[in-house]
Amino acid sequence: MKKYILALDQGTTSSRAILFNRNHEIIGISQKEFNQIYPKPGWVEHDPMEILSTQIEVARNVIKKAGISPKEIDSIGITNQRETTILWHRHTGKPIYNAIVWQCRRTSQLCEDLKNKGYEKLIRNKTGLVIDAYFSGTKIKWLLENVNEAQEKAKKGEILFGTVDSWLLYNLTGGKVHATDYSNASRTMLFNIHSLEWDTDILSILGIPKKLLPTVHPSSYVFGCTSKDYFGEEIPIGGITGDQQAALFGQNCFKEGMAKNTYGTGSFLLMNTGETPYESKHGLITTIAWGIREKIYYALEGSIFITGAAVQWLRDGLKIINSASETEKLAKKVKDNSGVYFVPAFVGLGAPYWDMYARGLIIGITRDTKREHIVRATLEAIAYETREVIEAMEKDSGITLKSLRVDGGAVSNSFLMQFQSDILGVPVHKPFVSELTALGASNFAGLSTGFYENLDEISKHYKIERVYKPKMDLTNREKLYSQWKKAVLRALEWKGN
Amino acid sequence: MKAHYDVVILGGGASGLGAVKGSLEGGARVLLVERENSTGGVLNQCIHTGFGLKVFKKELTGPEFHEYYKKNLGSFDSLFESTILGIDFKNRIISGINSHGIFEISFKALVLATGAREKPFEALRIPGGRPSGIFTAGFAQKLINIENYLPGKRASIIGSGDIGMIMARRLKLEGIEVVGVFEIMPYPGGLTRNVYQCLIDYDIPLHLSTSIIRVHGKSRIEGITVCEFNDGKPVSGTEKFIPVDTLVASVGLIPENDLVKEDIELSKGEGVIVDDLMRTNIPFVFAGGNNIVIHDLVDFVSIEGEIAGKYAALVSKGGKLPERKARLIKKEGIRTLSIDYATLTKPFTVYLRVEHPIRNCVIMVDGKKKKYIVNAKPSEMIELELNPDKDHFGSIIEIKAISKEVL
Repeated sequence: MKKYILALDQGTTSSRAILFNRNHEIIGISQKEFNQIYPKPGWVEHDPMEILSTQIEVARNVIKKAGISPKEIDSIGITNQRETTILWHRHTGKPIYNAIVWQCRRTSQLCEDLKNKGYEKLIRNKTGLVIDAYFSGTKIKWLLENVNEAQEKAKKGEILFGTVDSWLLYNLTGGKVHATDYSNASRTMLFNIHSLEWDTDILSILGIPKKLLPTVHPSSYVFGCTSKDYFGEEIPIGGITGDQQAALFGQNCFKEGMAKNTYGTGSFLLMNTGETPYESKHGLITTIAWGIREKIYYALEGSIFITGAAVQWLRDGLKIINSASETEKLAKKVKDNSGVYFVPAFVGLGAPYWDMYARGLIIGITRDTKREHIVRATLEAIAYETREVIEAMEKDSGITLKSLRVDGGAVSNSFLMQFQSDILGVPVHKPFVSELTALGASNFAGLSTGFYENLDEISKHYKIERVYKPKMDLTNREKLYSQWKKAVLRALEWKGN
Repeated sequence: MKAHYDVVILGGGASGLGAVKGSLEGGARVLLVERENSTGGVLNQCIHTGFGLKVFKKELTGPEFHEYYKKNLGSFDSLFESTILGIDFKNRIISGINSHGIFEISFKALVLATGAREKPFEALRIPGGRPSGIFTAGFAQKLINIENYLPGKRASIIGSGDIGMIMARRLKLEGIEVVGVFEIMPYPGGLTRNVYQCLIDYDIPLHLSTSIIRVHGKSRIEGITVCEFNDGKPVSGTEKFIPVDTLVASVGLIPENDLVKEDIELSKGEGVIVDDLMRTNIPFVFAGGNNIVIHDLVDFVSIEGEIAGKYAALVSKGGKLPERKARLIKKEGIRTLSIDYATLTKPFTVYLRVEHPIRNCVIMVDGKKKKYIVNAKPSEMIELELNPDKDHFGSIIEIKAISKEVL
């Protein structure tokens, strides 16, 4: 009797495994961190074998902890840190080098070269992405050029490329399946999101042989089965999705106009734009949300580099708070920000400004400014930044946001959630389940095997714990927001070259 | 404050809320501007039932209808206690003022849901003084239902429109002596159901073909002189003095279009002229409700508002709407039509009033019988559903109302 779905959530700092039952209840969680390797400043790597071993270990752990038999697992859903690049030998299954992580900036110069050669528009049109070291394409090129004999072996078809999902899939199926899903493929900068194929033009510009690349399938699809070596059973792997897209799905943002925000160290905002890809003119990325039942859904994605990190800085840098959880109480102690605005541009500003030279700013200070105002301004900043990205999404897609679904650590802060709703002018929905990335992966898997019949059945289990409705007066809201925008202007173009 | 919205809706009464619903469903970003401190408009003071029969299949009071309706709307921005100062149609900017200061809102499409205002008693130009104690019916209703004041102790009502009859009952229920309702026409001005439920059931005399010819009193009204009328002329010898300290006048509603009368095509009755998409002569301006034609049923007003909102949202999102193809002309027996043009692209509803009461009334459209009403009255709006796919309309659609006997 199939009762559970196992979600494998392979993240940037840890591998996690979560067991869900049919009602989306968590039966067990297991997590293990692994090493972050920094060979040089700005370079980040992971050991692919450690990624694999920690993922298997937590998966086995969670099954054991929950006391269930692997026979009861209907399917496995995989969700992963996106863009991180791994190349391995087809015959031995061994990686040719460490995994190059999404944060790694080693290929920045390569990207500048591509931009100088004028490829920006072509790549944007085909892939929806800007040319950036973020995405897998240039990382693959770096590996082919810098690892001994990699280029020749690749031409002969002896080397395989995968994002982390492909790497896990390949190993779990005993080397039988080399594939990925649309959402992950769309983060490589090699995939044409309109024709849904690896783009031969881009491959030739980067000198990447097609033989390297995995087959691309819908996110909800039975990719293959685990070899018995891992869990004693052949469990179908029924879903693969990049982590942010999985969270969007876990948040039940099935239709166009539905959006989610994950409030973490930084924030990732995604809006489902339906079956139409919209090119962004406001600094956002067009990406594939998922492929499901013969349909492809697209999303606009905006990342805000520093959100929770600003709160951490209050604690670790400025030392005016002892823990993040104090901020809610402190912010509520004062009736407003008293004119104080904090622009947390620690590493420049992402969407929609894209100013790498902006730096942090606290403005509006008077003798009456207290610790509480600064704390409040920090939380308010998170809400203002979110609105800016959402406005960019609305302008790009012509779709008006009706509500925002939220997840991530900061959603327990009810001051922030209410202020977010006030500043947006739309309700903010906080679901019961917090493990939305894993839940999304699990739901994709369940749909492919028939464990869940359709999206309606999945929606039944999605429960909102709390709705924050906008209460702020419109004029007041616009006044605060326009002051924020003025503050941002003061923070732009600060650091010299 | 400066802001931009897809659709701006002027007026937050039944029509405005309908437009909010229609626009939100069309995915537009909506701003509602309202002069009072809440939505609902006249619904808030209409504590009698009779609302929602069509929209909710329930008989609700005004405030209940308002609540039910609002409950199902999503989130939208609103400016309350705000007055519009001007509309720049060329640049699509509205400017206004409220306690926070001046606001300028740019929009892609506009919905006029400004309703109507009451005709003042003074418009009747009845001889006598101008003492206090004379109220329009809607204002008297607001005084009693919202402000908790009694207008007086002994009242008469002039005008047997719905609101006059409803106020007659209301005054009596509050312990005021109601001497009678005076109506200059030989038939009641409002719905038949109100004649029964407000006057007959409460023993309030209805004096048809009777009106006021003099107002008495210097600082406070002391009485009225009434007399019978025949064919609009007073009948000599029928004069009678009635002492009252309060006069409630229900003498008509005027569509509220002062803001737009220079730019928007208005009918002779000062209502906005619209087509079946509730669109005015300006392609991005829509209207619905009492400011296009005076309605009886709030349900029809909500429906018009929804249509206006729907097409405003479409236009705001860049959609192209079909052109007007036909003109609706009222012929014999018809007093008003709610729409004057049709695009002939979809089935549409016209709300009409007959000129005078007609028994066994047949509504004819282009010479074809379309609807039969046993007792058609000017006070009861008639719903006429037309379908261009079934009837092949030309560029002129003639509508008339005649008695079956004449056919």
